[in-house]
Amino acid sequence: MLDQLNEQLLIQGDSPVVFDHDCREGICGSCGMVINGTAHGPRGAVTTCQLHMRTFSDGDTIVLEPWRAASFPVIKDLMVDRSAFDRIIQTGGYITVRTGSAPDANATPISKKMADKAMDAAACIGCGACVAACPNTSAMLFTAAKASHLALLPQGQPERYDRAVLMVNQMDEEGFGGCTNHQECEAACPKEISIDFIDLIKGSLTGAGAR
Amino acid sequence: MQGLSDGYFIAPYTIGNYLAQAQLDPVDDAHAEARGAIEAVNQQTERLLNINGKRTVDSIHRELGQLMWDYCGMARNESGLKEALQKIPALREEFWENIMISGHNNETNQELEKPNARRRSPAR
Repeated sequence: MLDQLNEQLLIQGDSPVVFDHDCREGICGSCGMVINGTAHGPRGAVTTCQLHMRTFSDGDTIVLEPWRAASFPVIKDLMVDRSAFDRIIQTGGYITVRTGSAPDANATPISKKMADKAMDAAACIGCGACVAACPNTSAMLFTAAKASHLALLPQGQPERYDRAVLMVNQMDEEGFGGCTNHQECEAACPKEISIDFIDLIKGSLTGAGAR
Repeated sequence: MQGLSDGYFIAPYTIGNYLAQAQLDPVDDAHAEARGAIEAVNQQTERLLNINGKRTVDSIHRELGQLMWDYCGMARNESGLKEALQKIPALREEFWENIMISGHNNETNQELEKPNARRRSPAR
């Protein structure tokens, strides 16, 4: 729809509406905007690009806004700067691995249950809807998902506690608000990431304090 | 997936090992290669912005896609491929003579990104 609008605007000699997009298949996390007051629009569990026009009726007025969060400054029109997320990842989104030869594929057994749970956390595409939906503009669901997918696996254990502290500190540093359990993030998340992961990162924070 | 498209690769462990130990000289934009790349981008940008034609980049892209779909798909034949070989260079020429790019060089300009993205693979 925005492509059509922009084609028309260009033909008329006007400036097109700038919006972030890349894969157009709901996996990259680039697109994201507030559509009729809701992050990624009225349908659950979809990104903006996968919200098809058949969701709306002919003649509807659709109101589009950029993510509203001080930590996501607007670049232009509907495009915001989400590099604050990158900086959160940089503080803790890594594990210690030996360089040199590749590790043996089956050296570290991981139960199916744990692997599935870690994958549920890793499904986060970093779109920022959780922040846009939160009344506090907290990035807790994003941060929890990114920390948890490593914390749940054996390879992520050495840094587990430091990772939680570093990532949450960076989240605060970037100006995101604190989590007060509104659960709006979970409702807006196109990948249906559970707020259970927020419990998990809080557990890691408590563990870090207890050391 | 990461190896076959999208310009996205995971370095093998040996590369990380090398980079962790190698003493590499700092590189800045005074380097001849960097200066050359900057100059090439500036020239191309200026050329694109000065075409001031009548067709959008997307409309050319879609026409090219249609040509590929019609003549170069899984079901293809000699006459169709030869026809595409006639039509694609003509479309390329039209691109360089008749596209319109709105806006400027010194702002977020997705219309200017589009022709420059043509060297990239689609995200799949």
